[in-house]
Amino acid sequence: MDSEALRSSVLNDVVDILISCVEKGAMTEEDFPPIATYALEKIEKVNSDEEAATFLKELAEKWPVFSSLATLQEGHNQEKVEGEVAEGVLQLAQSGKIDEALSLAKSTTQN
Amino acid sequence: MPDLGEIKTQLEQPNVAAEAVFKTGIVSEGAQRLKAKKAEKGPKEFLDAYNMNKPFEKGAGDEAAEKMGIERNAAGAKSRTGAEATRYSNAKAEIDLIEEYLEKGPDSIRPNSTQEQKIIAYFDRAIVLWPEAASMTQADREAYIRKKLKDPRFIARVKEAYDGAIKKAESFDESVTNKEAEFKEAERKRAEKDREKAKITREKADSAADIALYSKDAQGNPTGKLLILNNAQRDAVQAKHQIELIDDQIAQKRADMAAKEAERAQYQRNSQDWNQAYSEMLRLKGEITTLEGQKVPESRKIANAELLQKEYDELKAKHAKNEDEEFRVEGELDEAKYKEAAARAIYEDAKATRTGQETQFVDGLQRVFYNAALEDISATIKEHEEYRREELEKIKGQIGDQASKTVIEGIKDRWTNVIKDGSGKIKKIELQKGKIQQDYYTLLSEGPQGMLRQMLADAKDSGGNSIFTDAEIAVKLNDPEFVGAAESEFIATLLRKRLQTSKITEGEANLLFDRFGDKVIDTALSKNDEATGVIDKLKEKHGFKGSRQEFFKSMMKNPKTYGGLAAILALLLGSPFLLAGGIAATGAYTSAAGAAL
Repeated sequence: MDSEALRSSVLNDVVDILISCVEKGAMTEEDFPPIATYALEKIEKVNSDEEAATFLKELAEKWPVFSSLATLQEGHNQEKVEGEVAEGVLQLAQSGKIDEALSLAKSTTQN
Repeated sequence: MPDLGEIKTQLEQPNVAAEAVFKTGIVSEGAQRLKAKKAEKGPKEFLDAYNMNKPFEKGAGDEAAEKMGIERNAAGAKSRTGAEATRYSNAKAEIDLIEEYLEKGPDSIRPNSTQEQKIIAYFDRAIVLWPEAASMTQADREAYIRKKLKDPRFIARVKEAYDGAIKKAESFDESVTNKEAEFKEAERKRAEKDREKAKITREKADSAADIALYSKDAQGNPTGKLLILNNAQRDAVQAKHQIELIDDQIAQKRADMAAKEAERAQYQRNSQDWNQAYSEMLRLKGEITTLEGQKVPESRKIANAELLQKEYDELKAKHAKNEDEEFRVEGELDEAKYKEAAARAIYEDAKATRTGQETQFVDGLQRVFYNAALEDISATIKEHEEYRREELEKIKGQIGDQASKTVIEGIKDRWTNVIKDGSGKIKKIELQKGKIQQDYYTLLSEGPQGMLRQMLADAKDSGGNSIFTDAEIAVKLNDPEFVGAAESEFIATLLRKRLQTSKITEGEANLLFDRFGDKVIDTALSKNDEATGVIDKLKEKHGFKGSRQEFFKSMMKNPKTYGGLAAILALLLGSPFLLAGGIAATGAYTSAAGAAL
């Protein structure tokens, strides 16, 4: 996903949360301006999944209603890292580098 | 990316959404509108509509104003006149003022200009709703307002209020144009029926006038055309009789001719007898021709009578038809009139609705600064309240004595009604004016001990039972350490609440300073950083070298210099308005000092 698409996707989720909150009476439109202003200012710095997680974490610190979104983004990033490591371990193992593969696998489980 | 469905499910869990205020149709309608807006604009543009940092763009106001007015000229172009033009120009004046302020910034409004005075007047209408601010002088309020006009948070509130105001133009009832067209069509059809009715009425009058020619006089004798018709009919009867007589004669003559013919056949041709008979036959034939000729004028009389009768019958038929036609057209006209009246009522109703909407639109524009000021003042008071509540919470956490905790809790909650949003965040703090007034007068009449007794007696546990017995209350009120500490906390808070909901008169201020002045001054100056900041500025300005307490007491000795005892008390208690605006009118404090806060 390119940066623009990532930012749009993150903002899309943020807006969906806002609308859900209105739907449930937990928020009104009057609460939107500070959130929108903050989100639009900070989103420009988001270019990767990691930065998206940071953005959502900071957003959730200011407005806890976004904490679930932040947690899920973090989980998504972790899964992605684990997937990349698993791929690396597999490639090393297939090329006979068993010790390196074990070392890489161990580094992930220790984190 | 995170699974949004999962998050939504979590939001539906009781621990997240349990405190949702309510789930009404209005809420879901709002959510539907927001969903549609997001679908239309996309997430970024959706959020951008609420972006407080977005530079102001002119034009939306003019676009909204152009929707005003429904009157059109003959060519169908919008042509505002009278009340419509007045409403439009009023709206435009507000839009120009607000957009100038928002686009070019508060510095574009020249000090003391008509524009500035207008904005100040709008703000002032809001600020005086707070008695605390209403007790300020006009100059103090203007100093506060001028400072506020440059505050980015206030500018954002103006923008928000302005966006809300111009948005109202989106809900103008545009169906009024169709309803006007429907009314005009109904009006046209009614006018058409009116003309039809006038025509048939004219025709009926004509036929009635023609029939009137067949009239009788007062004695019942036929006159005019009826007399002519009657005479013709009488002549026709006579003529028929005459024709019958002639026909009898002709028949006789024909019989005579036949006899002569038979007689002639017996004679030798061209003999004298034959010639005689033939001559008789010719005479008879001539007589028959004469008789036939005599019938012609009689027949004419009959034909004339028949013609006159036919004319009369046709006239009567025509009149009857006109009457029927008039009846039918009258029915159709009544229906057309009803439809026209109904269409007019619908149109007038829609026009009144539209006029009301446009009036509200103008009212909304005229209330932009007022509403922004109300929001700002509420936020200012709320911020102060929240700050003090937090401070009191800290104090409560530091003490172990139940009676002291009760007093602190009372100070925190006794005079306010806290409204929270679904997430538990304080949304609004309402002051309980009645309770504040009651306690204030208890303080004035019974002193701090009377108030403390009341606060301890009012304390209830979760089951609604009194926490303290009368004996326990009596013991606490005899404890000088408890009474001293509690008094210093609640007197200042109660007086602050009094200032926020009503006035403290000079007489009352005099009494309060006299009885609890030292306590209030000491407590306020030790706990109110804002007040001490202002007092330090004042001290510096007046070159006073002593302590804050000493300076304050010197102010009280010459209260008029500082706007009176009530103003000094308000300053001491940390009035958000006096602190933010400065007490410029007294000359004691400049707006520059206020800006330093």
